[in-house]
Amino acid sequence: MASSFNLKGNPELERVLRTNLPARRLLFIGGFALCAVLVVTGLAWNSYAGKDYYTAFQQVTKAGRDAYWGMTVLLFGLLFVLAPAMTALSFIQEKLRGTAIFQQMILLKPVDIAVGKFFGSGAASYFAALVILPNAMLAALVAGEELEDVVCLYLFLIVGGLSFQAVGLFISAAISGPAEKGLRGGLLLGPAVGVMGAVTALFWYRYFTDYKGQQYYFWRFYGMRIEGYVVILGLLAFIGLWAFAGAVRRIKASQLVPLKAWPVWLFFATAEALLVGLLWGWQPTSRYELSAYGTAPIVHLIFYMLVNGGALLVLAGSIALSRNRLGEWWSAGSDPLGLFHREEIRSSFKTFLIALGVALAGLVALWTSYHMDVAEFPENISLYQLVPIAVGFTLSIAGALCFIQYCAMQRFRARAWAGVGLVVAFYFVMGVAGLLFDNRNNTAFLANPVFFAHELTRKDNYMGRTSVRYNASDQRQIDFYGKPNDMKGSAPASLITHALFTEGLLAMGCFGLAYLKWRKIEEEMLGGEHRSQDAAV
Amino acid sequence: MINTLGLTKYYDTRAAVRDISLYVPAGEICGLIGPNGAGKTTLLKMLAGLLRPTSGKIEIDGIEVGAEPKQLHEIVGYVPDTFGLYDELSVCHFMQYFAQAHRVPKEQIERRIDGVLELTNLTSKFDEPVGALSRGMRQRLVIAKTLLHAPKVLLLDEPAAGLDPVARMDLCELIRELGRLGTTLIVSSHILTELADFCTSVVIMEQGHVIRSGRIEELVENLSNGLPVRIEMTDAEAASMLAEELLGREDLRDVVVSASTVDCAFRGDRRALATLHKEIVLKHDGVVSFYERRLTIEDVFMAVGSHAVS
Repeated sequence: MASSFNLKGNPELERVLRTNLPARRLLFIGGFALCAVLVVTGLAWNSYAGKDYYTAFQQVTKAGRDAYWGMTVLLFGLLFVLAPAMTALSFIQEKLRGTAIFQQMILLKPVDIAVGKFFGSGAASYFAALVILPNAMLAALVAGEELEDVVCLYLFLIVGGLSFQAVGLFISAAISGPAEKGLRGGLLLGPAVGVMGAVTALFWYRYFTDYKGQQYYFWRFYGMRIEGYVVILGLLAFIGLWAFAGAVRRIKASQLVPLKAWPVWLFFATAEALLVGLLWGWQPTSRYELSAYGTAPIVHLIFYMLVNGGALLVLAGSIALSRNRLGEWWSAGSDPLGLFHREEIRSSFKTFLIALGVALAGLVALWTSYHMDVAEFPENISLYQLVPIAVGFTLSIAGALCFIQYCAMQRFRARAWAGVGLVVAFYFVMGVAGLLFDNRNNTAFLANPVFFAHELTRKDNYMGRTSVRYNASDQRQIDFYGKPNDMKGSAPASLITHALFTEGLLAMGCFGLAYLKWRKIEEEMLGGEHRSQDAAV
Repeated sequence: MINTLGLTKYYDTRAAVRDISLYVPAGEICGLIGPNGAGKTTLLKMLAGLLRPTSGKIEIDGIEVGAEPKQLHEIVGYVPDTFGLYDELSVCHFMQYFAQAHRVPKEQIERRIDGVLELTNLTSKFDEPVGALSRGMRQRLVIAKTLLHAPKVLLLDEPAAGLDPVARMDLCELIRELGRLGTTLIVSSHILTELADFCTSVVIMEQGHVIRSGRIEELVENLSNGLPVRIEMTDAEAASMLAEELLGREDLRDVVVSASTVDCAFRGDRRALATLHKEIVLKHDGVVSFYERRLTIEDVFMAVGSHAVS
């Protein structure tokens, strides 16, 4: 009865291809792509054909160039927008269709499921792109485009497209877990990821075309000058690889496979290394002059603190213990499951501490890079600034963690994520309120560790300026206009005391809130259990 | 085959399943009974490795499953109460996918698919799209795909819900057949009479607890307080008059009137019951019927617990 079984390859990929790309649809897509090629070429030719002021050769090359760009736009649409959008719907569709529960039980490796969904969801776009690509190449040849330029742009197309597909896959897997309830509007995720891809492509494509080879658009990585497009490709590859790894992890979590903590540590370490590298140090422009790429180092440092703060908040939101998890934590069972639960909880908090440690290490490294002895500029680590900034950042993150834990113990629908939202809103409101005062030494302003860092290093020679010169003969720093600068990063004690007191108080308040709630639930859970046990006796 | 110890699952501070210790021997067809919200689905999902218990231990076929429920999927099949299917696939491709996904050896796939389709009476639908199948067929298809990796334990959550009478009878027959083939089954259902048809044992749950479990005949025997007798009268008035008289007798207990019917438990042998029959018929004109009633699992269910939900 059963015949012609095709057992080769990935069953999940086979299934997705059979579901999404039956023969008739494939024919339609191929025909449609060919039609699009013809339309683009026709329009391009129509723009130049018969224009007497161009020679016949010019007419052909110019039409070829327009056709090449038109088809390139089509390819970007397919690989940067459509494929990621379709991939972003892959797990959501399983959930909405009611087949997610079967995916939880199948014995395929999570990585096979991820690969199957990844390539299966993008297959229609790949096929259309394959139809268009030879025509685009032909058009590029006719237009006389440099091969290197074409390869560079298409490398962006492929790496970026795959990277956004991975991001879509990760987001889809993350919001479609068995315990996730917030699936309403999940189908909007596809277009959202598609738009994200389109915006990125528009934002960065010039680095692969016009800006290529231009010194002004070189980026720096740990001080090394690198072509902007190389850095962008590296960034996209980094994001894509980690997003794919994250998706596999989410699939494992949905199948209740115990997760190891080290990949998260590795992610934080590598992401931090990348971020620090991109924000590293001053740019020496002459022997006695330093400039920080047009932005003051403090702006880089603030960006670094914001990215890390955001990442730590997200991590806090994901590890905060709900009432459910607290039940597991307090479970009296000494069976393997009980021990596993407790170990898992400990491990997630260990991960948070490691991530915080990595963030602080990066902060110190960056700070040091802005204070290094470059071009005879005196080395001055300015610990009296660095330590308060690091302590303020740590206190704020610790306070936020406590507050998020407090929210996780409430009966909100969003639980810990409500806490994350409230923390962000709090710092935003406090920052705006603080800015309303002329004197920045005010509580609302200094409650925010980023604003505090900015205030502490404002007009500082190392951190607050885009350009500084050092006069070696009289050992004085002078500003860009040669005016002596006596602001040697002085940090008023009152500012530091005020900020650290505010941030410390906030952290303690949040800790107190979380502690009281913790005790209350402990009483509710364990007390209730004891009472029912007493009743049973 | 299935052994759980102190199995507990909390949702928030509410215990959906609490301290359940169960033993289901190999080859048993066990019915899981309880009102909505009793914790049946939660229990089945934990047994299927789809939900991690808050505490407790699950052991199936000697495999202790605590932190790694994934191991369970190799020996357990689970049919959820609600599900969707890949409607675009043909039955053949649907089964191929699940066979490969459950790591059925390549050389056995064809034979296995043919076997389970035959067992579930779906062979004729081999090339049809899944989307074209009726609800009963879809239910059988899911059971068929669950049987592909030859699970030792099959968990069915409300398998008969939404099926027409013919499909239900087919399903009951299929479950009986699976039992005969040696699969250990746990079937949750609201339709108690159906469960009684094919189950060898039952577990009655309420508010997350198991309030009664065991083999059906033992539970029924424990429940009976004598020979269950039902007397049907012409009308409610005659029934109440009869009940009043019966309440005074020492050999009768648990006299209950329901419309024109009187139920009671007779303490004595069948000869004495025949005498009672004669007495009542002679004394009362309105006796329509008098018979010894067989207690069912429904009686056990109604007799135990408060039928409250957790």
